[in-house]
Amino acid sequence: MKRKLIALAVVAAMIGIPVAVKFGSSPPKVEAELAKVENKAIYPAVLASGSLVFRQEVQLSPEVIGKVSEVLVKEGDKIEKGQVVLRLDPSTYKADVAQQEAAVRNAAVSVDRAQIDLDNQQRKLERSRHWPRPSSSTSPVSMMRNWQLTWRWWPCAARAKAASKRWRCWRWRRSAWPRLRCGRRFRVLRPACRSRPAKRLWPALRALPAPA
Amino acid sequence: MAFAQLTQVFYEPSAAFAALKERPRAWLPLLLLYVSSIGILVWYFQTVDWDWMMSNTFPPDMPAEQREAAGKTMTRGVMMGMGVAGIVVGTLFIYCLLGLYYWLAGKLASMDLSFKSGFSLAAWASLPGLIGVPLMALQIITSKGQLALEQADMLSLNFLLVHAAPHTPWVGIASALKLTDIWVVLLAAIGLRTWTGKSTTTCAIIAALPYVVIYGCWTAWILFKN
Repeated sequence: MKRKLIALAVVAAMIGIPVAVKFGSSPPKVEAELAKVENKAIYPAVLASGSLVFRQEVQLSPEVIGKVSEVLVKEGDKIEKGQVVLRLDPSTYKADVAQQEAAVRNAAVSVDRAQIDLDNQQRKLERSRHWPRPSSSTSPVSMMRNWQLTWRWWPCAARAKAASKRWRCWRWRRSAWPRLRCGRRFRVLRPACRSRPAKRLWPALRALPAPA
Repeated sequence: MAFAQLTQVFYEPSAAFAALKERPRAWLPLLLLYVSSIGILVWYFQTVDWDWMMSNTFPPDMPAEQREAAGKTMTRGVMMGMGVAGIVVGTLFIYCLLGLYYWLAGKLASMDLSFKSGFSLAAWASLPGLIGVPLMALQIITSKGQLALEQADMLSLNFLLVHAAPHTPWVGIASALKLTDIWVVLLAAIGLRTWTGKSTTTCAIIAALPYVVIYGCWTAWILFKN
């Protein structure tokens, strides 16, 4: 019984002490700033906060995109029409101009080269107009006629050049060079090499009528 | 049945633990603690002034955007659900830890104490915590809805002595320490002595050591941070 009373007392104390703390403690103090009563002048002023905005606002933007290198005006400055207000960094555009100029020079060189090729081709054309046109027939008689025409009407210098190339052709055909290389390299000269008639046929060929 | 030990543990703890020694069942004190804690928590969240709580829960230096975003996620139902889940899981977790601790301490001190007995000892020794339930109900009734959860427990050191303001370093530890903790440690020591037959000093050291370590480290951390 005694133990029960002790336990009951402890429980009661545990409940009673917080209740006493809750209801027995004074209300929390509120700090306040005190001032002495005195006479002061009252000024008709209103303290307010706000924001200033422009009545008219114009957005300025350059026609090209670039890095601004220099701003020549400050906020609040008065500017006039045509006045420079900022400068863009021209290094990028200068590099572009130099690149385009180099491209123009390359194109001019190409034009010159094409002109030279054109002149060469025209010279070749003029020279070939003085040569007789061989017949397209492949009969032995027409072949011999073609050879005679070629042999007779070729200039002496061209004949010497052809003979020299024929000699080289003959030498390379007997060398260890591949046949394909020889044929490809002297394709133009091959008819002259192959269609030269035997010496005994020369009088008959001379008897043929001259070309028109 | 263990119903007789529910009151006997308050005035004759040795006899109560001796009666529980053969069948140390923890479900009855655990159920009582669950029902009382969850009931008080649900009542608190149903009666609290939510706008007042939202304005007083967050730190004063918190930005308005974050305050608004947090207020949208922290609804009354969400907070109540989280509180109930915390009580259910947290209580079980703490008792499991204490049971493990008593089992390990028993191994080290050559005591015959299983994990189940340690868990049951922790649950039975926590029964003095029920004294705070009517006091919390009194706080809820008299506060007119404007009551912080950490101020609801009238047995806490913060309410009785410290009176630390919210969001200050000492408010957490002062709210966690309760007057009933002394009784809880005392009951744990008596239970250990009854169930293991070891000396009172050994049992008192084993029972008080978790509180000393936890609150000692907490205090050292606060002192180090500030």
